[in-house]
Amino acid sequence: MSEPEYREVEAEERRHLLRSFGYWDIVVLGALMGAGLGFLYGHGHGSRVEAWRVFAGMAIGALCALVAGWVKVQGRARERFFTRWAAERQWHYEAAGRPFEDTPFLQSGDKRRASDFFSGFWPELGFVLYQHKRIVGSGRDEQVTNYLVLHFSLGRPLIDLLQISPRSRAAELEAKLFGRLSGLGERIELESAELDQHFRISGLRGQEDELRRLLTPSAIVRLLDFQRALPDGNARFEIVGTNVAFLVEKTLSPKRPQLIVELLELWRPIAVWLTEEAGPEAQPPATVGESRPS
Amino acid sequence: MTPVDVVLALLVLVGLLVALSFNRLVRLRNKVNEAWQDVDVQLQRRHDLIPRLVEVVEGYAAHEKELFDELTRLRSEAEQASGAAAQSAPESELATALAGAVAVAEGYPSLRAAENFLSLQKEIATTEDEVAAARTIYNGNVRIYNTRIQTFPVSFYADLFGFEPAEFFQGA
Repeated sequence: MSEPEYREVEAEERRHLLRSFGYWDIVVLGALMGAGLGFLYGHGHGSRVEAWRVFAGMAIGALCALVAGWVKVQGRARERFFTRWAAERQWHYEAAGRPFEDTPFLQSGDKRRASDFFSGFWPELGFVLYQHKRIVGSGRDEQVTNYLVLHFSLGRPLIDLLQISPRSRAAELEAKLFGRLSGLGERIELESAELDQHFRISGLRGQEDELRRLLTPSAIVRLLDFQRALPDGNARFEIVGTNVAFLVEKTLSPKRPQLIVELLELWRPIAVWLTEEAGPEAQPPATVGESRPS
Repeated sequence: MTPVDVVLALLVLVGLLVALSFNRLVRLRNKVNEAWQDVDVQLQRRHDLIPRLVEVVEGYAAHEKELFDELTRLRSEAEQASGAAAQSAPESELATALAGAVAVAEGYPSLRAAENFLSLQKEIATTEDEVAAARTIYNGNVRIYNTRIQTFPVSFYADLFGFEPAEFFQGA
C-alpha cells in the first residue's frame, strides 16, 4: 500500500458523488422545493406571483443541495483518507467517539466533543490520539478550543496527580486577587527558572517529594526540549495514576496528517521516560469508547 | 494635587518596583543555587561510581593499573575544587577519563558479560545523562539571572544589593 494523498481521495469522492444519479436527483429536488417555497412566499405577499421569486427559490434550493453534497464529500474524504493513512501505520481510525475524561483538564469545560481517534502502538507503546474540543460558555459567548490529545496508560500507577500546564500570568493574577486556582493541585516550583517561565507544575498536597523525585533534571530537560520545539503549542501534560494525557492546542487537518507523526516524535522522549519510570510493561491501547468515564 | 504629592507618588511607585524586582532577583539567585546543588549531587554520584568501577574492573584487568590510578587522581582533584568555574576543568577531565575507562573495560569480553559491570555501566550512563541535564538547567538559570542583573534598569542597583554575576559550569 502506498501513502494516500488527501487531494486524490477528495477528488475520487467528488467524482463518485457527481457520477451518482441520486445526487443530481437531490439537486433537482432541492430546486423544485426552492421553487415551491418561492411560489408560496410570493403568493403570501401579494396577489401576483412574480417569476423572479420562483427562480430565486429554485436557485437557492439547488445551491443548498450542492453545498450539502460538497460537505458530505469533505466528511467522507476525511474519513476514508484517515482510515487509509492510519492503516499504513498499522493503526486504527475512528471518526467519532466519546472524549476521554480521566484527567482534570480533559474533564474541564462546559462541554466536550471528540473526533478523529487514532489508536495503535507507537513504537511499542499503546496509545490513542484524538481531537478534543473543549467548549466553555454558550451562545455568542461560546469559546471552543481544539486540542490534539495523546492518551496512554502506564503499567502501574506512577503518581496520584501531576499537572504540567502552560503558565498563564492572567490566571495567576486572578488566583492571587480572588484566591481562585484553575488547577486542582498544589503548585510546585522546581529548580529550573526556564521551566518556571513556561509551565505551572502542580500535584496533590503532601506529594511534593514524590513529584520532585519523578521530575529529575533529565525529565525537566525533556519538557524544555518539547517547549522549544513547539513554543506556540500551549502544551499540557497530565498524569493521574496510570492515565497519561499530553495535549497541544492544535487542529488536525487531513491536508497535514504529518502533524500527528511530528507530535508523536516530540512526545516520545517524555512518554518513554514515563513508561520506564512506571515499569517496562505498557498496557494495550484502549479502544475508542472503552474505559472512559462519562 | 501639588507637585510634592506627584514626586512622593512617583517615589513610592519606584520603591515598589525596586522591591518587586529585588524579590525576583532573590528568587532567581535561589534558583541558581538550587540548580547548583543538583549539579553537585549528580557530580557526587559520578565520584561515588569511580571506586566501584575500579573495584569491578581491577579483578579482570589488573594490568590497567595506570588507568585506574589516573582516574582516582582526577577524582580527588575534582573533589578538591569548589564552585562552578573551578570545577569545570577537573570535572571535564574526569568525565573523559571515565568514558575512556569504560571503553577499555568493554574491550574485555569476560568483563562485558559480567552482571555487576553491566549494571555499573548502566548506572554510569544514567549518571552522565543526569549530570548533563543538571548542567543544562544550572547554566540556563545562570543565563537568566546574569541577563537580569546586567540589563537596564536592574543593573543600576543589582550591584548595590550585592547581586554578583553567577559562574557558568563548563564541565562535562
